[in-house]
Amino acid sequence: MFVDWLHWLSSLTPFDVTLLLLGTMFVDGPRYTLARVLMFVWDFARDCWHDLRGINEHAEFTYCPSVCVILAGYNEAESVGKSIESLVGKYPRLEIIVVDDGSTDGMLRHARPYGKKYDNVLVLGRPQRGGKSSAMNFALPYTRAEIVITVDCDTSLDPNALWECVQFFKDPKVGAVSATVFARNADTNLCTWLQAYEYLHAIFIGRMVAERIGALGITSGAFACLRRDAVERTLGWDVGPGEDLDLTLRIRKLGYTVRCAPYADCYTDVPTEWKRLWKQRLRWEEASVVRSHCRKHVDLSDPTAANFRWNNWWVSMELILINLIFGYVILIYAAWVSINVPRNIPMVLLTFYVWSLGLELIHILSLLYYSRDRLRHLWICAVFPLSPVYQLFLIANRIVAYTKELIWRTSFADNFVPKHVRDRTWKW
Amino acid sequence: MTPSEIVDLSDLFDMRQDRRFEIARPIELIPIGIDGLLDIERRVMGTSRELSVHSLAVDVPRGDWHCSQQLLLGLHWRQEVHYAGIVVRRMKTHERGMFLGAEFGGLAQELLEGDAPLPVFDRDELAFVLPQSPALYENWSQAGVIEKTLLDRVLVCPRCCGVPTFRNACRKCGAGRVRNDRLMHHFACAYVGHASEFCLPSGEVACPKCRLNRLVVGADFEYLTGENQCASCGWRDSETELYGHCLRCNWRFELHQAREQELHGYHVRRLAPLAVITDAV
Repeated sequence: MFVDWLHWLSSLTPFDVTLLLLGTMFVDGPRYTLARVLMFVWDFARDCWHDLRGINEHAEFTYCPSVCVILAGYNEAESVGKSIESLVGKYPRLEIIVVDDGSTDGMLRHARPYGKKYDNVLVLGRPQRGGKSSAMNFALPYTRAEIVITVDCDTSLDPNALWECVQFFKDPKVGAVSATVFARNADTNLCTWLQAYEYLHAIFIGRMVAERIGALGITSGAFACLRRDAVERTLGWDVGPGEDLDLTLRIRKLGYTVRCAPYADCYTDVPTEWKRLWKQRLRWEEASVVRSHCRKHVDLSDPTAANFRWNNWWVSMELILINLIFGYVILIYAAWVSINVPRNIPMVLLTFYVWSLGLELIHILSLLYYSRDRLRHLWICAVFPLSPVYQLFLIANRIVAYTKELIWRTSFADNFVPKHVRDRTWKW
Repeated sequence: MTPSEIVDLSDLFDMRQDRRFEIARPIELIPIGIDGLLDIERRVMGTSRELSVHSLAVDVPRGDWHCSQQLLLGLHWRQEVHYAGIVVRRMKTHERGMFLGAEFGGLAQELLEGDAPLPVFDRDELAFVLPQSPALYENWSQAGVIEKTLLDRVLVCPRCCGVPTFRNACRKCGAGRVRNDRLMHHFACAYVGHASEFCLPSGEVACPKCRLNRLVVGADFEYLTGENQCASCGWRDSETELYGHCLRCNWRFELHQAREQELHGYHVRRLAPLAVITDAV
């Protein structure tokens, strides 16, 4: 088969090969390759130059604003205690507000002892579930901290994570900082291993690249750092899902910039079953491009809008073009290949696979350069031969999600938000 | 008991006016101290010789027994021991032991007569009290003379056992002057703010975030109970703590510090001489 493939490949003209590989550029991963390589070369050269000149580039934690961490959760009785303990004592000017969003598993009962144990922990509870957004908004009136950080209850932070984040807020133009989320349970099975690999590339490196090209428009809800003034000016989170993306875009609209803190690490549990992963990604994708960029925040890409800014246009267009339009283009491209070269489909797929593996190797090299835990990350990267197949899974998920959202607005029927709230919320 | 054991001896003793019956039953005698406590270690077994409504005569098989003037008598009747207090009037030792002539009465009889001892609330002391010293009841209960029964458990002051009042108070200083924020959550836009932010001068309820007005509670928004703020010390917390305030000594304490006092009543198996005589006859 391999020899047949080489013969088939050598029979193609350079134009045919270019045309063939053009299809892979529609896939989410490879599109960043060039930007990643450029970033890597630039940083490598800069680091070498600094080493030669003896310039010390170690991070200095000199800025220490007051910080409020909001831990909002629903039925997180088992994990809320660990989350609080992972935060206490990690930062000098820290207050923690735990909000129980009407849990039925006794989360409030589990959290209250921490409110008594620590003076800087405030535990709030509500009688019935109102959704994550309102739970976080519930905490806002009770803090005067300069920085608000949202952390999921099942997320644990690295000891320096808070320090790493807040340094960016020295610049008054920074409204939000995106931290890095890693999969805690990468070793559970193949599903979690692939997600861990994806998180490394999409969040750890992907957001560094997005920041460099000025297209960073999201902060993960699992660990997002926000300037309280900016949040107050937006009047808080809107009804989810996708409330983290929505708020980041609204902060950008106010004129703030969004930065990436690659070494502000947090760890979260990712789905361990394919079915649950499929559902989770459907929810994320339904609430992202179509609902946010194409509908609610369409003014970001409208040059006639009063608050129009080219960098916001770039954020929006990048996602609409790459995720939405290219998603359907891949579908059309696959159909075109199937119709025109039906006998050579295995060869075409093998070409794509080999090409993708080559790109993955480049990604891994750049990743290891930036990594601070190379051994662990190298182990996670060992799953890279399966990454192209996983990418296809994600693309299929994305196309299904976008189609459902475009036609039926399914994100507004998601039980992530309780029924009495989603029945009343604005349908964009 | 056979009829032959019952002999009317009333004409033999001039000192006693009541009709007496010769009833031989096992008895126990427990000396009573001046403080009313029973001297269990000096308990002695004996036999009743004769019994009348107000007095009795008993034989004690030990001549060296040190008898006090007041005794508690336990008489075995109907598979149980019934108790009465007696005051010794005559005492005579002989070669087989000791003879005692006694009347029903004394401190023990006072304690055993009347209603069963129950704790009652004393309005002057502001506490639950028993008719006699609790130590005395405990001593009698340990001796098996009276039976202790749990009636209730009450929380009392850890200092003086006085009765307290309880209030939801500040967790820091225990003050009852705690103010609570009332917040509103608008479902449509997830905004949460103080209730005053939602009130328009016209009296309508409108969301300050999305400007939707004429909101209806339950359908469009809900009220949330927010943080508590203490007017005394300024402490802020989501929950209050139950604090007790002793009405007797004015001590303020947290609920978990309150002392749990068990209120016991005491069941008495009182000896009724007439019933024993009637039963025997």
